[in-house]
Amino acid sequence: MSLFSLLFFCAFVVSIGIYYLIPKKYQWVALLIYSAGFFYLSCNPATAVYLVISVISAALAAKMIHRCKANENDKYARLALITGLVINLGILAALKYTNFLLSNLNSLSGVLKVMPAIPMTEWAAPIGISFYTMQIIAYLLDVYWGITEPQNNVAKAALFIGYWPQLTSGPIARYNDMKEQLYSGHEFSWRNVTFGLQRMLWGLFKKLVLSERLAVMVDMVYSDTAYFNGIYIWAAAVMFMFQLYTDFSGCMDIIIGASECYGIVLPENFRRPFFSRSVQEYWQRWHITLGTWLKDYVLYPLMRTRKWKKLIQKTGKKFRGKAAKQIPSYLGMLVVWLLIGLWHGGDWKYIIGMGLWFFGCIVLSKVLDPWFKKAKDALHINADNGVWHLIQSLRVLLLVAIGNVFFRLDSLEAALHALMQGLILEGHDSYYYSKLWTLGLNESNRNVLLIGLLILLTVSLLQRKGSVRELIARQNIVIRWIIYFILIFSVIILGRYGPGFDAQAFIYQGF
Amino acid sequence: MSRKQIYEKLADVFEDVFDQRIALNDRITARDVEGWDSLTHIILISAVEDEFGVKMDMKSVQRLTNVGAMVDLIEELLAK
Repeated sequence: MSLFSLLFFCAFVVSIGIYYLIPKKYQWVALLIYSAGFFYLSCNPATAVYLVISVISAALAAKMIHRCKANENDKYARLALITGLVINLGILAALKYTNFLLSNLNSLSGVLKVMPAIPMTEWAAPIGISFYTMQIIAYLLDVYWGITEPQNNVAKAALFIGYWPQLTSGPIARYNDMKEQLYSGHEFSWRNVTFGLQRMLWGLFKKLVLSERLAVMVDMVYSDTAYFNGIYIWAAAVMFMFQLYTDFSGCMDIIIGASECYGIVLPENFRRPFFSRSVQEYWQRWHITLGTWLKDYVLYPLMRTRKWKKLIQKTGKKFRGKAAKQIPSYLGMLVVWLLIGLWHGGDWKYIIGMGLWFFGCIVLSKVLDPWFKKAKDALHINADNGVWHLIQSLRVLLLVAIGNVFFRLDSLEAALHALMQGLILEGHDSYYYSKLWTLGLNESNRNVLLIGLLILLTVSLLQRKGSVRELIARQNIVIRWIIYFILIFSVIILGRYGPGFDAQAFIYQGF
Repeated sequence: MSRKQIYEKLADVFEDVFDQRIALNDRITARDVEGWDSLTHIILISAVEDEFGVKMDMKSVQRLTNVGAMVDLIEELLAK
């Protein structure tokens, strides 16, 4: 079900009404029913079988882990943990990565001429599988590490795993942060509902007013990279970066806002990433819950294994000084970045563009850091200077835009071709350059986009000082409602939706 | 081992990991030390474990919010 359809809006309003009318102890049941309904309307209902297997296996494994731990039987607790992880990761791998494996095998056998090509699978995956599988892994490990108690009620565990707002695109939440909120019930709060609706409205503004217009510009250039080159490629790369941000963060605003209406606070996924001074900082502010998950459930456990510690000792003997410490760290980072790439999809374009490219940027910045510091000192550059901050942020934007070219284009070859086209600086006539200022939009739409981006920038700057919604709430009723009406009517009038216009699904939907 | 002795040993570990002598106190967090990111944090934990001969579990590692919490945990593990 599209989050900007009339059906969704009506169903959501009714869901809030019922939620607050029923006794608090049954509210979680209502949320479970809504989640089942949302799932049914959002993807192939037959795929529910995978979700059911995941829920039951996670609930049983968590219970077994806890029981074995209580009996101090770590061997069986570990066995239960591994079983739970294998089942859930197995489903994810089979549904999302089988074709990637098969296409690589086919390529290899094509070269070696050892066997005929294996046909690709057409297995449908349930909505949100990447997100809920990560929640399950975190849940099982948290139970194993004694961070949380298991949920004994399978239906309640199902709600944690398949809570409908998170099924579209996350955020990836932890059981400890969610259990009280999901199961204890909430009194009606005017503030929660109005703040939630405001946040959803802001998300709709980002998606329907900004992201959909940016998509037109990006599509125009990337649909014909044989014709467009030079500055057009870079303009499209920058536009896609903003499209991805307004799309994904807009989706998060709708999800987090919808959940807030029920009184349930989901973790934030963005913290003004375009103000970052380094690629590393950018990734600490972009898709935050994915980064934190990888840190806590992959990087830390991996670097605390005996084998990893032995590796550190070996590199300590072979290398000296900084290199001895840095090499194992970089290897840990490499594993994380390969997983980030693979998480985005089973395709080399993701592994290279969303994984290895950013890994390379971060490692290079760390290796070159001493020279950067020396150069900065020699040039008497003040690190706190606003202009220097701006230059650093622009450098980050350029590097991120390059990585995102791989995300946007259909294949690794297409992305590399586009980037090569970006290096062509041949002369063209004035007609060729005339499209640069609108990139497929008419002038009025271009102006709407520019004003919208300015509003987005202003809100981002205000967010540095605190919550913008709190700031609006402190204004008198006239100013408050002027702001709300502007936002409501800009979405209704300027939003790209409705008959004759098919708003694109969220980019991260279906991950 | 007294808290003061733990701090002295911990200062050596920090110097080895961050390549600089840091005047440690209970309130120091990752934000106060240049280069103390998530990656260095886990390297620091391993170095602390080796230096003090203790083993921190994942539950504790995720909850270490400042140097004071780290010293509390070391004290607790040494007392076991």
